[in-house]
Amino acid sequence: MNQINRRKFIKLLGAAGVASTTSGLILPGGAIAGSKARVVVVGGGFGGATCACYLRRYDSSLDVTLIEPNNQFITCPFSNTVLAGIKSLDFITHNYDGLHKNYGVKIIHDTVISIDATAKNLKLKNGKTLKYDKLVVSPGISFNWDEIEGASEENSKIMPHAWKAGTQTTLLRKQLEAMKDGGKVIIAAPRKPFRAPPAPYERASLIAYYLKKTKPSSKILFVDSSGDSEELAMFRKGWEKLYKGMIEWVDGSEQGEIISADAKTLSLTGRTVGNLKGDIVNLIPPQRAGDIARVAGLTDKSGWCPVSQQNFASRLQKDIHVIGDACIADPMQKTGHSANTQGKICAAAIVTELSGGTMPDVTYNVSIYSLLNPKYALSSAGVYRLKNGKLKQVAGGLSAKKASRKTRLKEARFASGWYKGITMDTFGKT
Amino acid sequence: MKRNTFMQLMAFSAVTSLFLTNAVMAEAPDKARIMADACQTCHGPNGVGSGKIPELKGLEKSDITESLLGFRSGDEKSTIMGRYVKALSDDEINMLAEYFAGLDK
Ligand SMILES: Cc1cc2nc3c(=O)[nH]c(=O)nc-3n(C[C@H](O)[C@H](O)[C@H](O)COP(=O)(O)OP(=O)(O)OC[C@H]3O[C@@H](n4cnc5c(N)ncnc54)[C@H](O)[C@@H]3O)c2cc1C
Repeated sequence: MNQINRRKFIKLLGAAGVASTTSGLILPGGAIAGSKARVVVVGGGFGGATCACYLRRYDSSLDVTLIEPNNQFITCPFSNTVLAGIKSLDFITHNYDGLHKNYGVKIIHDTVISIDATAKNLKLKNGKTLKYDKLVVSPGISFNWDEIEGASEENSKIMPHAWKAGTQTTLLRKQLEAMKDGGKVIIAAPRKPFRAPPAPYERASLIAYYLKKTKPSSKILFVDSSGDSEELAMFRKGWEKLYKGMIEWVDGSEQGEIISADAKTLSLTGRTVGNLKGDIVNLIPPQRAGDIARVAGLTDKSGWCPVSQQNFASRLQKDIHVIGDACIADPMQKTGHSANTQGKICAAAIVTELSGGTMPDVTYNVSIYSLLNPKYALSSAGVYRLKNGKLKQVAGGLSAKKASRKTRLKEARFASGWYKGITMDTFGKT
Repeated sequence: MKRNTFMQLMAFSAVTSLFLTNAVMAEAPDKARIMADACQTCHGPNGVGSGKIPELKGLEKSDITESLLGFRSGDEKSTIMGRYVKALSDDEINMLAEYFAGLDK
């Protein structure tokens, strides 16, 4: 029996009156046994697309379906270069052809509106129901608008967040282009945890890069609810050198958090920071897991999803895994690289579980590059391992504090290389 | 359901799952594969295609081992690899070197 292959075996079973379906072998009596499990992945961003791809790479007999409303994915990574006019929106736009053609992932362009963890099925906006044996959810983030009086989805058309890439990116870019020289741009970044903690620093840097070239008397007021950090200090040193006097950093942590916003007067208010008025207001609100996670009962009171850090299985619902920004994977930060790493580990863990094995001890690796200008980048790396079921950082750290111009340039080149690599890897390009 | 039929069914499904776990299911990825796949995020699919990030394909095992050991000790300069490789044991370095040296040349 050891040598027999799957197809022959199924044929054999078929002859014996056993039905084979997409979700496995239905034995007389309805029990499901075996492989060809049906895995559905919700969300085609860094976590979901990677996971779908690697599920098929690890076990090509799996039936893998990815559900994502959009035909194209526009990445947040490198979207700050679009704001600065360095890259176009096309450059950060990717399609799902590779996942389908190269790896046989089935793709449904639709939105999941509910998940029934007991019946193991989900409902799509188009009214269809889809069954699964295992579900992976990677919906990214939603915004906590109600924490800031006057902030809303509607008002983000005036005070863009540009924290999901696409029309919001284009909108903020247009506002920057239209602003007169001598104008003031306010960037308000939320408290942690939020998507991509160093990305507000990169944003301040690259907006300064654009303004310095085209509107040099303009200023940036950066209200930062994350407060001060070693990493920020490295950026501020860079700003001193590259954009002296252009970026004013304001500690917006604790009492400084933005509590109200006024789209009519383009102003923000925080208890200790007072009333701040800008010509452009880039208001990045506090965040939580993407809404479908809450609808499906996957979130706890923090608004994020508790999971096993070994296989990203939800602690709240059976046979559902949550990866990416939505899950609680700290000390890993919420980044595209983290989501990609979690997608792979989750895929390996699902395949391992289905084959009755145990996951080996592996490292979880991440890095995030931030550009201060096209020739100057800083990076932050992290390597984690499971210790007693909890991730612990075992290596990593920031770029060298003191480094030559050449080193910063090299990191900028690696930032571009990273972007190429991760987008090929995530979207199944070869 | 009659007890008899039930028992028969149970026996049948037990045998079936046994076959499936032993012979039919795909082999799960091993440690080397999972850890090498992590490298591809930056270095590109099969370790190639990421612009200025060095390629991993087509290298000799000894070159990879030497570089990784050098990054780890600091003897070989790097921007980011030194920060990563400190997490790896000698066995893991050896395992990764073997994996990438074994990719189709
Ligand atoms: C300005 C900026 C710069 C950044 N730069 C970097 C960087 O340099 N490096 C880095 O590693 N990270 C960076 N990030 C972070 C990165 O973008 C996120 O961490 C990453 O996208 C998270 O992946 P995810 O899979 O969790 O969510 P996403 O990538 O957002 O994917 C979620 C997907 O789920 C879909 N979805 C949501 N709900 C449903 C539903 N109900 N049904 C079906 N589909 C659904 C959405 O359409 C979306 O496509 C940056 C972020 C920002 C804002």
